[in-house]
Amino acid sequence: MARVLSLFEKIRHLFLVLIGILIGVQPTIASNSKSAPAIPERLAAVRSRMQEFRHNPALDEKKSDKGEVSTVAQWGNSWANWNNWNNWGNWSSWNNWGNWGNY
Amino acid sequence: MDAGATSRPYQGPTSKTVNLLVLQPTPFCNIDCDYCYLSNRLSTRKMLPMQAVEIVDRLVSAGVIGSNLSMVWHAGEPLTLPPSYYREIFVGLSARRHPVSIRHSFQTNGTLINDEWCDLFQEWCVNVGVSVDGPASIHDAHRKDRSGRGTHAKVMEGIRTLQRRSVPFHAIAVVTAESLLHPEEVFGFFLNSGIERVGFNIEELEGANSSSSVAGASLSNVRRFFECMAKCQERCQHKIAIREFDNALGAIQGNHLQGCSSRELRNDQTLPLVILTVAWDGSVTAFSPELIDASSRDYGDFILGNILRDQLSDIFNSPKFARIANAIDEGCKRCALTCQYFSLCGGGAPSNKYFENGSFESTETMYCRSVIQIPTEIMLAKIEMQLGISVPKDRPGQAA
Repeated sequence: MARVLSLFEKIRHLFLVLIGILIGVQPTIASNSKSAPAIPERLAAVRSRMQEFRHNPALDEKKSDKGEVSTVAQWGNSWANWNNWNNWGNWSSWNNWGNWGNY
Repeated sequence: MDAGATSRPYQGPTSKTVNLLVLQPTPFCNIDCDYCYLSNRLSTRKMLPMQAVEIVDRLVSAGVIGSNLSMVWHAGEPLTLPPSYYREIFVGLSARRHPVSIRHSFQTNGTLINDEWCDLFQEWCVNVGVSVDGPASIHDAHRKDRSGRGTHAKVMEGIRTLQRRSVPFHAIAVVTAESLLHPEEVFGFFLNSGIERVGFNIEELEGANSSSSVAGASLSNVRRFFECMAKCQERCQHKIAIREFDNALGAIQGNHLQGCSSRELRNDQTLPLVILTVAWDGSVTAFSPELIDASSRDYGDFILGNILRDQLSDIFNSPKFARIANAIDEGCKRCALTCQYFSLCGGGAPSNKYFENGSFESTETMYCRSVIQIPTEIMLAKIEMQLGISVPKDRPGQAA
């Protein structure tokens, strides 16, 4: 009986794999389809949203009208310090080094 | 082991200029921290002031100095030499009228700071970093003098002198297993001490420090530590700038990628020539400054030559440089293929890769996870919230 069940499981798995291939999704990924996007996707979304704010200050003003702290303004000071490669370039050296120009 | 490291000429990306020159005026240190990566801290040898000037002369002549240069005096306690020593160097460099703006920095244990030092710092706009780990109970557990007594009281005396004299400074705190368990106390210490800029170095396996108290700690403790820091920072309305968060914010913004495809991205430690580290006798290394005093089975040591004797071109055309640079470049390529944080990082820290994983060609390290990935995730989540971007709760790496 156990062998039959095991065989059934194998066939079922193979069937799911084939279905997955047919619809272009691998079963392992399909089972995690509700998981979070990867870091690069999240970065792209954040950068794109930031561009929207930059190109459309009204978005920011709207927020301010509600009495909230403006997102871009709030982060602006930190961001402003990181506008070029040199500044950024130091950051991963901040093991013990780097950022000496800023800090 | 860097099995694939070859001494074929290095043809990867290289910086045109040196941005950071780390100089070891002396290997000597007046205290004896148990996690220090330097092995030769009892030696009182020193670089002569005229040699320090000559080093800059040689770099300028070699055409590798741009319009700005940071000179960091470190790798031993720089304040064990007198202010007159540095004054002689600073005056000597000024007299050369090299077309470069030099910014001097000291990373000090703080125990010897007095008014005379503050005079020098102010006169030459010196950037000061003080190593202090937090409250005495945490600091004194590792940062001891040669008779085994804690140094916290002395350091605080130095910090108060800087504050009385209005000398700006930042603090660097080594985070040990104890600190990880007391993030609120650590943050509270910096807040109550009026210290406004702090960088956290998670205790690392490097050079003479062959074991780390953090190595056994769960990564979730590191995450909790930084999450607590972020909350405390918000609670006090950002009175304290935290280096790891500022760095993460800058990288998330992505301006470092301009004009560079993300696969070619390198950072200061993985791009040859950006950082040069010179020991008291002129021995020079590139990449991670920690390599200056380290030895290895694969390479012997990481000294590439002597900047006071050898031509810079010979140093950077040597087979040893090629081996190390090729191995580091290979490691970066592997990072680019396997790490989703690569576009934020540029290949990690070579010294950590070597001492943790045994190879420059390796990829992720504890340093990557704790200093890059976790702060990035915390800041990314914060920005997403602020920008109104909804992300499922099980973000990568969030489940600790």
